[in-house]
Amino acid sequence: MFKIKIRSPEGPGDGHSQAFEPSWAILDSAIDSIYDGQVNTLSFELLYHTVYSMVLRKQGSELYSRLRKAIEEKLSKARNTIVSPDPKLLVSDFLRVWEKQCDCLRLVSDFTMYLDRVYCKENRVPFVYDLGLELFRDTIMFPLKREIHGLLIQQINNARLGEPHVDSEQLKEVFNLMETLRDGDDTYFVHEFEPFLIRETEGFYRDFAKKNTEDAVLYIQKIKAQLDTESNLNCQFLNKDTSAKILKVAEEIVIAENASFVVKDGLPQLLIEKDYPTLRLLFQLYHNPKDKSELHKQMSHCIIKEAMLIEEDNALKKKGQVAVKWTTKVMQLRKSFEEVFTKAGESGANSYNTISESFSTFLNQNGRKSAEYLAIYIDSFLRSSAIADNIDQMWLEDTVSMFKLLREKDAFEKVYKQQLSKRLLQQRSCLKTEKLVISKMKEEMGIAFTSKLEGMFKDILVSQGYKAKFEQSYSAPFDFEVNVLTPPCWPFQLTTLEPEVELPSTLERLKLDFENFYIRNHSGRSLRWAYHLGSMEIGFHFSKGYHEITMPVYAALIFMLFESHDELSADEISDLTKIPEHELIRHLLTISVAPKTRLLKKNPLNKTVLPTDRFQINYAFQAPTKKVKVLAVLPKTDTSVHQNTRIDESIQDLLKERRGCVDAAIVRALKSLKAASSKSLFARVEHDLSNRFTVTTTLFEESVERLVEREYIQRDVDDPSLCRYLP
Amino acid sequence: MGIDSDNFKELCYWCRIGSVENVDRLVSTGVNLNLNDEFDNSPLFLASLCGNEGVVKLLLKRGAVCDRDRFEGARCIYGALTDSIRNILLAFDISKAVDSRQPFAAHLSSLLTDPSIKSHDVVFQFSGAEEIKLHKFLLAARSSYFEEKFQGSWADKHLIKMPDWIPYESLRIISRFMYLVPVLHELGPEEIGIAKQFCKKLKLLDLLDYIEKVRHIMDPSEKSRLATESQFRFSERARQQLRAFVGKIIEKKMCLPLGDISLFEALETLKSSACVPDVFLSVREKQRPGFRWFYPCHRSILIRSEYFKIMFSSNFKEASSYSETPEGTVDRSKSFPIVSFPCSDPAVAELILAYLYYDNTDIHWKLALDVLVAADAVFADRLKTMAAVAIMQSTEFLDHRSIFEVLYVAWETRMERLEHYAAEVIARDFKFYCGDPRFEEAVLRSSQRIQNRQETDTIELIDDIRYQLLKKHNIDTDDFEDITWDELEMKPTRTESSPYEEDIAMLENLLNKMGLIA
Repeated sequence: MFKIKIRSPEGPGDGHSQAFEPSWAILDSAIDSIYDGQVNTLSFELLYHTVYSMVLRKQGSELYSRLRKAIEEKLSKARNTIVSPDPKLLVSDFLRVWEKQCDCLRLVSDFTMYLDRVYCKENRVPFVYDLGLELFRDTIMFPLKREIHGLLIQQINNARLGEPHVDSEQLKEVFNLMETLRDGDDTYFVHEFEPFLIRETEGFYRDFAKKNTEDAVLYIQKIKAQLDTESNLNCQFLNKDTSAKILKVAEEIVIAENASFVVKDGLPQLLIEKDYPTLRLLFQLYHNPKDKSELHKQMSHCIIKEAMLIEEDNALKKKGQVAVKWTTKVMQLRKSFEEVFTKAGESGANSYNTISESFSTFLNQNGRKSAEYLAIYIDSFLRSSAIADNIDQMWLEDTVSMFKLLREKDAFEKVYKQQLSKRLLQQRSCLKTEKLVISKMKEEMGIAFTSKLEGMFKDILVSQGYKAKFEQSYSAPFDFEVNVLTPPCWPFQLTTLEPEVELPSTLERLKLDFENFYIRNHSGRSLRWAYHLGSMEIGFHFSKGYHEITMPVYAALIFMLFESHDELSADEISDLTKIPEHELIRHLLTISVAPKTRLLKKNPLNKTVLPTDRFQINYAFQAPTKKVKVLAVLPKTDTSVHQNTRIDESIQDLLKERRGCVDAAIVRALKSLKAASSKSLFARVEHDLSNRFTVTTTLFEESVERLVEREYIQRDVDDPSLCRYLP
Repeated sequence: MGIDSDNFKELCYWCRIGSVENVDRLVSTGVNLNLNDEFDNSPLFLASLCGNEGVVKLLLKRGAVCDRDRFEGARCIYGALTDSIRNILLAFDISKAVDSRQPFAAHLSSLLTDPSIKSHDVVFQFSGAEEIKLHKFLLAARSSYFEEKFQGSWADKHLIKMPDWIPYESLRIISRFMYLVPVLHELGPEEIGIAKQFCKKLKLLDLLDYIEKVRHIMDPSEKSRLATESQFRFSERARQQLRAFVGKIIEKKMCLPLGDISLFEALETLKSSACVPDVFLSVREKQRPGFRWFYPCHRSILIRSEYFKIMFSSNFKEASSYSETPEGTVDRSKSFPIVSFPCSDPAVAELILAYLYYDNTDIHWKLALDVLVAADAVFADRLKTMAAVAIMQSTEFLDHRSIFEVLYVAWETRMERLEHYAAEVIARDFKFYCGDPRFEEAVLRSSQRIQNRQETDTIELIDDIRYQLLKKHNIDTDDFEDITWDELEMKPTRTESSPYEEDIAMLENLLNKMGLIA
């Protein structure tokens, strides 16, 4: 039923023997012809069918190994033709052999295609062409490795040194060859040549760095030029991947390894000389993140060093002037560094941070002073711009960004509040501007920081309303203005009862009227008068002319006594006005001794006031302007002591406040945590208060002791480092 | 059109089943892919609904239309079983360029747009110095006008200067049409006007028909549908024309003794025949030793097989015997080489030619094995698959030929599909084959194949048969993964020997007898 047809491979190949040797002889001589350049005499058909039949006869493996041998032989012969003594010709010989081998291999692999597809695929061996490439690598590339590599690197190094006649085409061809050859899982280029090239590059740049370390600026310029040359060269004959690696290696050596002296010595010099082009180069060179952060660190050192050089000009008389001058200089320095960064092509978040951090470090080395000076600086600015409607936005930004850097913000707040209150009460600044400044601070610090300051504004505004209403129902014999202040918002101590003084009758009535008016509107509130904050303006005709004199209320009360008296002793004045003694003495000195405001004649004229001293109006008073302002003097007798105590007092105040804050923060934290270790508690408190000031460990420990004593919290019995909340 | 509608039904069946090979085979017979069956389902819809991704891809490549703007297309997309199929359909949406070309058509196009060898033998020059290089045989096959011209006044010319009044653009469009480059979608009104003038003269009725119709259609999606359908018709027409042309080649074949003096003269006559060949294909004549058949053929078609492609693009004698005219065409005055087909049956050779010229895959089972071997030798992979499918589909094959023969050829030509088929056939009638001494030999050969490779200790043929036995007796292979063999034997239903176990026992006995462990 079944017929098995005996088939045999057909084609011109059949008929000849089934044995291996005769078939191989055909192929062997064909390979010879191909290498002799006589491919066009060969019949593809015959060769293909010879291979085809051999594969079908299962002679594939024998055929494959014979092919291997034959190709190997051809390659060894070719290897011996690469002998040129001239190094340049050696490379071109090498390339010539490569091209020829590729052509021949292509032809051989054309007629062995059936072997490729059937034998090689099934047995997972390289195709004939790839086999040929492998053999080329082993027979020619490896033995010549040292020479070829050496010649290539020589050419590359020459090119690096600027030799114009570099045959980049040839280099490219050799690299293409190396990328075509496989080696292991990668190309020969990646596996063999690239590591070599990188090693050599390292050597080249180490040398280069060594030769050029005399001058920092020169070094920067030289390496920049060299690296530019390098990247240009690489573009010409290297692939992107390798090129990037090479550049990285070069940069590492010339910058990270050898250029620390550049930033240490060169950077300050560049900054002094304001050599922006070189700075720009420097920043370009230090583009990788590690190098860059090092550069920024050095910049930061320079900034701090420079800032430390700013001196307080103690030659100036007033503290205010010292503060303003110092702060202005600091701000200018900051601006100038911003400019340095911009001109060096390095503007951006990075450099902004560097500047900020440097200034922050600097400012907080003497935190309280910085805070105070900045507050004074703002004060002087706001006073001087009282009339200006439009505040300088730039100024505002700069100032607030300085403010941000302060760590002891509570110290700043204290001074600022004091001065703001003065400005508001004395109407020395533009309300709109003040509000703008506050709103900026609010943006930065949150509402808690500015709530009291805003309370002050509110009082002032409300008071203006009272005045208008009051004037509707009562008639005042003269201009009269009352500010009703809510004590907690204002930095004055009104706790000690202000003694009532005797007012002239007109004033007394006005005062009573206002009190009635206010109580009617707000029953249950009590008003207390803060005379020492007020001022009065009095017109008086002296013998040399008429003057309008603005003076503190106490001084005015004294002065007005002389409406009905020609001459009074200090004792009598005290009796008539009931002004507290130290205020009386101070104001008597103000209007009788202070050279520019000698409204009264004092007898005897000296700098102390005794109860028996006598006073009368100094009709000979004269002043260059019609309006005269009387500023209360500080009693001279103990100024230095007094000043010290004042400073001490403010420090004490600050400390007291801080203690309160720390206490509150600890209790708040423990209330929610129930229990916490000292360490974590400290961290939390520090974080909570970081907006206001830096909590020190002593401050914290004291606070804990205090709270334990007062039984707000307790220490754990077993673990004393653990604190518990006591409900 | 009874055969066509039968073919279409069969196509629909394979689309549902998911057999890429059978769909390919049927599509190659020229069935219109864009018809609907009695239930209004298109082949593409069926394949898409049944989740046969391979079939969907093939149908789309062969010109099945998936137009989102029309009901059928939208239905295919919504009905798609998997997202992956849906994405394929969307990517092939008609609004993008549709490749409605079959492999032979794609090859013809590449001859014009991206030729891998220089085989042009005529160049048309225009007054504006533009020129187009073409193939005489193809023009002659596609248009009777050119056929006459090349037999008449243009017979020995390779350079044809066009009169001034004929615009370059006209021949550019016409040649693209002739080479089945999908040109319709890019034709603007101006080009259509130019093309129309020449359609009549060149008797390109299909193109003329399209031009007449498209004038009345405004809707772009309708227009594009018409273009796709027309492109499909063009390639069908081209297929018929090439079929007729192959008929002529076969008609002209000559039987001559090799090495005879008369051979040269005979080939010269063949060369100047209407087939305009540039290579002679020779096949041995079995009956008369020393005699050979010669077919007038064309390199540009033969290179569809990888073997001929390498032959004609490398630098060996065959390729270097051609030379070029100054105008860059093939110099027809030189003699052309003779190449041979690796088969000794003219019928097989003619079948391969039909495949190369117009994708014919209608392979008679009697020739299938020889076609398979020959196709393997010339690297025509798709033809190999088709020959294997022809064997597997044939109901008569096994009545005349042995399954072991199939198995050996399958090994030789690395047709895994056919190996499995052989195992299936043996398993199906296991009692019968098990006693056959040839089976023993086959097992032995299979085991040697493995030993040569030294990969595993199994015998592939035995593994395949075991698997097919499982399938035959409807035993789910997963059963064995869950239960150990012990458990299986303990089961009461299995204690009495099932037919499956009988078969397996027979197989084990045989292996024991042969001393093989597998």
